[in-house]
Amino acid sequence: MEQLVIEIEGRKKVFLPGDMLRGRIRWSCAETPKTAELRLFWYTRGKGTAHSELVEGLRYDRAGPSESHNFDFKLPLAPYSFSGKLITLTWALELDIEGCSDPAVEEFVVSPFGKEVQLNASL
Amino acid sequence: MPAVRSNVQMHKPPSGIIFVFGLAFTAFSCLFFHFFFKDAKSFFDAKNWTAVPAVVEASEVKSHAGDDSTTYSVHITYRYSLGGKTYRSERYSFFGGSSSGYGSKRAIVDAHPPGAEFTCYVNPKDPAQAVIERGVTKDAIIISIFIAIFFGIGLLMLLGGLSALLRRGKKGGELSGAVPEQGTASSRVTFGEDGSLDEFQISRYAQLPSGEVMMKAAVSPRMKAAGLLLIALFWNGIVSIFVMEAVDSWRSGHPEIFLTLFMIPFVLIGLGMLGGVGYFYLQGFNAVPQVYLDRAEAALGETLNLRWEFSGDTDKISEFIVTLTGTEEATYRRGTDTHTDREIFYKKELAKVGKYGGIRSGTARVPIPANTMHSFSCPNNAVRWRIGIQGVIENWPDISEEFPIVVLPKKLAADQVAAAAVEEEKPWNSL
Amino acid sequence: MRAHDNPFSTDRLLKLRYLPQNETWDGIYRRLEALRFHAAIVGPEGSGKTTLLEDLQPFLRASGFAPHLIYLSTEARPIKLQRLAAILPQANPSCAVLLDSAELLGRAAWAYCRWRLRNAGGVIITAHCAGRLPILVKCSTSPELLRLLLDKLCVADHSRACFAEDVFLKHAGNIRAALLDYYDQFARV
Repeated sequence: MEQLVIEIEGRKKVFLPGDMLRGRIRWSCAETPKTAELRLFWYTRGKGTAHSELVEGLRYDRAGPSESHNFDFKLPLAPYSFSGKLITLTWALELDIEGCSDPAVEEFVVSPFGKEVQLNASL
Repeated sequence: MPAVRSNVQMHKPPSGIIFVFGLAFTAFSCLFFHFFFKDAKSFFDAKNWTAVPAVVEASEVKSHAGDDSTTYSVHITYRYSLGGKTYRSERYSFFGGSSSGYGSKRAIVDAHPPGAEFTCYVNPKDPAQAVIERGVTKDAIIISIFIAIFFGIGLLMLLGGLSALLRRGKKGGELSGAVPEQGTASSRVTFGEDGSLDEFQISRYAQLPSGEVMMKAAVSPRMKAAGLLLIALFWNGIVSIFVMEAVDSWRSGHPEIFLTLFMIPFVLIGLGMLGGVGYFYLQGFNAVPQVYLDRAEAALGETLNLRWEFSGDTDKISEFIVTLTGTEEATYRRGTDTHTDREIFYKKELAKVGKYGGIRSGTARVPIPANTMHSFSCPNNAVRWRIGIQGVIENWPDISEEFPIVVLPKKLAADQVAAAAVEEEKPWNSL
Repeated sequence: MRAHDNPFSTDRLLKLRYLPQNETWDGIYRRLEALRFHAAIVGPEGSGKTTLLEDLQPFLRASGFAPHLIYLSTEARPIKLQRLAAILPQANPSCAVLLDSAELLGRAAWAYCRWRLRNAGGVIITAHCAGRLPILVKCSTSPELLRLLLDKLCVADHSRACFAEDVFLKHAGNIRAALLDYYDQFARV
């Protein structure tokens, strides 16, 4: 069975800006994939047109059908994960193996406050 | 296989198309001026031309069919004698071309039927040159207004485009998420590795030698009035042609009712624009507040110090209020348009001064809340912070201005920075 | 309610696909074939024209075309011929050009489009009014359609989703505007 897994070290869900984001990815595909990439990105949802921005990517050349790799990213200091009435910004890792099953996504929070910033709570 | 890292790319700089359009407008205005007024020099000389009796040989109103409408011109052939020689001329005035408005041209031709005698004006230095109407015609006034407006707009675009091109030369580095704000003050923000401001350009600020930052108003009311006046002149200039057509038609006893009714909304818009010009002009008489901050940026949890000073008469201001607002802005498509919704998530009154509380100058602390979102901007979504000032004036346009400020992410504490450095050096531990 | 929890957030609305009214997809496909893939989708604002245009792509691919979707917007006005020349693809019989908001093209621009795309296997446009190409679908809306969409967004039973008819009438049948109105209502929850 095809499987794509992202495991964040310590199963952490909240990170401070500037923290190291470490973990391991593994995949198991029926065939040799064309491309394999792990992406660190953030994206917005809400009333406005969604936007996503790739922060850093790791490409695995000549990837085999089953592999596992460690990864580490230094998280930038901004933007924070936040949510208001109109916009939510979410950080995530995406493991995309072309020719395998749908990408695996692991969301997490980047914030100095231990949780996502709630904009409405400030009023 | 080692992984290949790829990083985020930058945003595109703006273009100088306005400069090219400005150049085109200005050039075409000059061409039109030359075409219509190539004989205008003679207009000034003609004051000294000799008055000579003349006889009309033929006269008619000629029509010229265009794409959307027909224009008309006066054609009068007349004969005169000077120095024993007989000359013929067809020049009616110094200002050439044709225009709409059949009635006025008909009246001129009717006043000069074949065989009629009248006085023409002849150049004594070159008797072959003669003219019937040596003054300024109505058409000449209208065409002059048009050309002046196009020239003015072209010049503004030329200067604006040139200034934009010159600003383009400045380097701007941007990291993820920060895009210059369109339409209002631009605020480019990039954050360095320790959270400090890497590069900072806010175009509506001036750094003073004292270290203070002076906040500039986006556009002064007088500039708004001037801009609106240009548009109003352009609009009313075009509308006036059709209004004069309609008026002529009523005067001649053949009222064009459809044209009259059709022009009403356009006239109202033109009057509205002139009203707007008046409003902004009056606002220009308001005392001008100068606002200063002790520094250009502040991180979450920090405090800025603000001071203001008014130049001009502040007696009319009944209340002066300074606020800090945080707004989330989301842009989305509505059919073929885009629309931006704004939601204020933070608003705090920093100062409120009454008439006798010292409006002329004062200070206020601007505490940036600690547990909230820093300034953020990406295509279609933004979090913006602004300092607003409002001077309430009874029965008069209020003083109202907003100044964007940049709120940085919370500064990392020293121990957090140290811990992050240690973490970075650590070998990866298996799960 | 936080933005990402709002059932009417843009990413959820984009997942709503076209719902044929009083006809079937088969009927639409057959009509498109009969019109030799040169047709117009007409209707007022917010009636689903763009959504239908997007949803025709799988059918066009299955019919052997390579669909090329172009969105026009008022920000791009006036739409100069040079810009059109840059965005229109090289037309060939296997290419189907889908042009959204073709009403933004003036006469000259439309004539240029027709000339540029004369060899295209298919040209499908959306417009507010008929006239430029034979009509494939005349999009229309109704309170029932709005209720169906609310059901798909799993909010049909929510107290704030009541009075769908009032919201529909408030926005004069513009479903997009009605859904955005619902966003604001739910955001206040």
